[in-house]
Amino acid sequence: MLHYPLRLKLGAIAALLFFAAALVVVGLVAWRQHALSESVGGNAVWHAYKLDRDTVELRSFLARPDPAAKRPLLALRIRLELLYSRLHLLKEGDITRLLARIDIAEELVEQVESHLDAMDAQLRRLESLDAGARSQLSSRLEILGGVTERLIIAINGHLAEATTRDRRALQTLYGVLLLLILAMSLAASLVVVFLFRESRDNAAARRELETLSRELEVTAQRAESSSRSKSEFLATVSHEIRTPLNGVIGMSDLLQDQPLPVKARHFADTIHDSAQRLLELINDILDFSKIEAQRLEFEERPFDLAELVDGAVALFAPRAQARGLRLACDIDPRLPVRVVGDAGRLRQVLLNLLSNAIKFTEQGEVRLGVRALSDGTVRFEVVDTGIGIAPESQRQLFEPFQQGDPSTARRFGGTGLGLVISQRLVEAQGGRLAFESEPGRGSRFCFALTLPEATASEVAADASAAAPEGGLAGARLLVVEDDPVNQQVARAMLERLGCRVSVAEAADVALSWAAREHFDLIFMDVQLPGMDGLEATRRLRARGGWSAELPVVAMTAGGPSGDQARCLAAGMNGYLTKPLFQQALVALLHRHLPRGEPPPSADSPLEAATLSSLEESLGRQGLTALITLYRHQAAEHLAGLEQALSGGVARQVEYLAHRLKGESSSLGAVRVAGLASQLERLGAQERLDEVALALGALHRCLALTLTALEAWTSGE
Amino acid sequence: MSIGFIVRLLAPLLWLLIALPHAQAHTHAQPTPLPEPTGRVILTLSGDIAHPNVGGEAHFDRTMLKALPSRIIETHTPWHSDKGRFEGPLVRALLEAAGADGDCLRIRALDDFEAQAPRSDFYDHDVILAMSRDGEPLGIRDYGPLFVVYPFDAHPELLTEAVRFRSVWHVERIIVP
Repeated sequence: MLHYPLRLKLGAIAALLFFAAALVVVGLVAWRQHALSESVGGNAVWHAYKLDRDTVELRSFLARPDPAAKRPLLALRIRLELLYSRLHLLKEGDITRLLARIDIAEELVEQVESHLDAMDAQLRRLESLDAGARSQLSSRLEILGGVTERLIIAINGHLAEATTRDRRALQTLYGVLLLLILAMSLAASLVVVFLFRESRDNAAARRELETLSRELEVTAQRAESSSRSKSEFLATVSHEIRTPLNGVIGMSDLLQDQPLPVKARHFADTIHDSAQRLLELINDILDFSKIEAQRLEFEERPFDLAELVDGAVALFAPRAQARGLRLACDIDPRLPVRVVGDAGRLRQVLLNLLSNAIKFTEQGEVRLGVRALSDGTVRFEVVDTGIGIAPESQRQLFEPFQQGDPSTARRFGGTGLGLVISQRLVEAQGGRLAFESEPGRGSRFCFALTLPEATASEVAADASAAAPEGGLAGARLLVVEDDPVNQQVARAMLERLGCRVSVAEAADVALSWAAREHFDLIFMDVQLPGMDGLEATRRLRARGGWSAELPVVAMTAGGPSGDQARCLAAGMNGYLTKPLFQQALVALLHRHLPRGEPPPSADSPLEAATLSSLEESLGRQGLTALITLYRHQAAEHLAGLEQALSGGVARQVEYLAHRLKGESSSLGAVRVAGLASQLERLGAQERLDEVALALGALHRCLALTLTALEAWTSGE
Repeated sequence: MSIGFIVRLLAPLLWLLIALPHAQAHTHAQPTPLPEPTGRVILTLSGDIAHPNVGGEAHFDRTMLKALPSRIIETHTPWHSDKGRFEGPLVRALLEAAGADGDCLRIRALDDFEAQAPRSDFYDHDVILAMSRDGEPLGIRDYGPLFVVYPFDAHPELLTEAVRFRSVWHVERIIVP
């Protein structure tokens, strides 16, 4: 009821009120009618008339005496008695109340009574009814007749008036009733009209809403399709740009390896750097478009946090040195060694922040700090002593394509997308990129992420995914690529790594080759003329046998992580973005290529390269001696560690682990070095109970490593 | 209103159920013939009568009427200013004494006024032929000598034009058609 409009409520209330009033009036009319029906008006006239008639009859009885009547006097007396009873009626019955209202009536009734009394007295005196008495009575009756006639007239007149009055009152009541019914009908019709309008308005509003929602839907679809076509356009353009860029970078990479005159080397370096810069720019724009389209994908994999941070800082060390800046890195020792998260994205953010810091700092230092916070998150902080950001520019800092001010763009270059991308990446990982800055003093950018410590099972799963490293030399590779430039780049890069490379320019060619020949790995371009790389992979997998196990790595120009899911769904094992980089290529080959000989069950505890170089410089005998020394030293360190653990001396644990780490690293015993490094951290953080566990693992690993070292020296 | 209406609706039914066997019982259980009047006859029953005493009619004098089962009705009437204490024989007792049958009675007055009353009235209610009011015998000027009195006060629903019309004064003769 409360939601109905006022007019509707008023109409309904009015209709109800009118209805109630009409009921009251109907009640009044009924009561009035009842009163009329009980009125004695009719009776009064009747009795007055009877009185008059009896009087007249008595007189005619006197005038014409019945000769047959035996006792005329008695008959006369009875008739007079009857007349008397009529008088009683007028005086005592309920007619009396009516007569009381007629002025003249009472007087007339009194006259009637006096005449009757007189006649009564006369009759009592009479012995017989003679002519004298007759005429005397008759004349009196004549007078009485006049009186009774006047009484009838008076009563009739009164009743006529009363009737008129009553009728008028009734008419008024009926009029009021009619008016009320009319008003009620009007109110009811208004309510109906209002209801009708209300429902019409509702229907109209609903229709409008439906139309609006349809329009919105169409608009949304249009916007979506326009955004999709924009993304497709970007993907196409990037593909088109990346393909030639792939050639430039690959060729310049190869060129740098050639012996060159100084000037030519400088040109080659410049070409390489410029192409790199261009690629970064395109990557930025692609990243941004993906963020806008909310198509970011994040990995959840264990990685070494310290290694990532050190790596990021190391990348900028030459640039900082060239500008005369101090580049410091400060990692909280309480942080876990391996954490789970998207290392690539984290690195991207850190690199961007560091790059900005170095770009905008003329002198002083740039510092990257990583802290464990009490709420379990990890806080990253990049502090510089650069030019800072003016307060009026701070607001626009995270707006796309905005830089501190227009002059910044001219002076420092860049797209202005770096910070936006960093901010979105941090936000997508559950953090928030904050900053504070003072012009002329420097800036501080910081963010905190939840990076849970990697569990042993996660690390193991990742380790098994990262297949054992093996020699790349002699691996048989098939590159499926239609672009001639990319063909040359891929072939050159892979051959430099010692691989044997076949190049197929179409998927069907590749499939027929793969049916004839055994390959160790296939690089598959995704976009190919005719059958695409995804379909080719599916057919390959469908063949079964070794074809189903053969590693297939996608090569796309679709930008980082663009079609990763589709590639993996098609049965591919890895994913590589063009342009190809030596580092990425090597890492990928290491991951996917099986060892030439039957591979050991676990990954090797030794780094072959280190041992080889040691052997080169020391000779076989020197290496054997070194290994013997290492065996003694390691045993001592382990004993010392056990002692330190039982003594609860954390600093001693840290110290001994540090020494073991150093010795193991120089001998290429990477796994022992890794465990020792972990022990060193645990010691620094005084987590002795975990030290006990790690020490057990170290024992087992050391035994394995020593066996492997023996095998190396005897076998190689 | 509704109760009165239902009573009126059910009255004939009740009559059929109760009054009919009752009446039958009386026609059989009327052994004594009506005695002849000794005083002045003030009421004559004529028509369909089972026990006439004078030439096919049933004549009653004051003594005979007083001998019949009677009732005292204290009531107001539309024709008196005060409440009266009316006394007289029950009409149904009178009808039974005369062996009067028939569904309808014509009650005639001295002034030739005549009203018809259904027999059921006298079985549904204690209707009397009043002979006295407040102990005083009714004279002609007091609506006497006999006056049909319905118990108006006890049954206000009787206060209708029809019943008023049947309340005959100066009753002289009852004709059973």
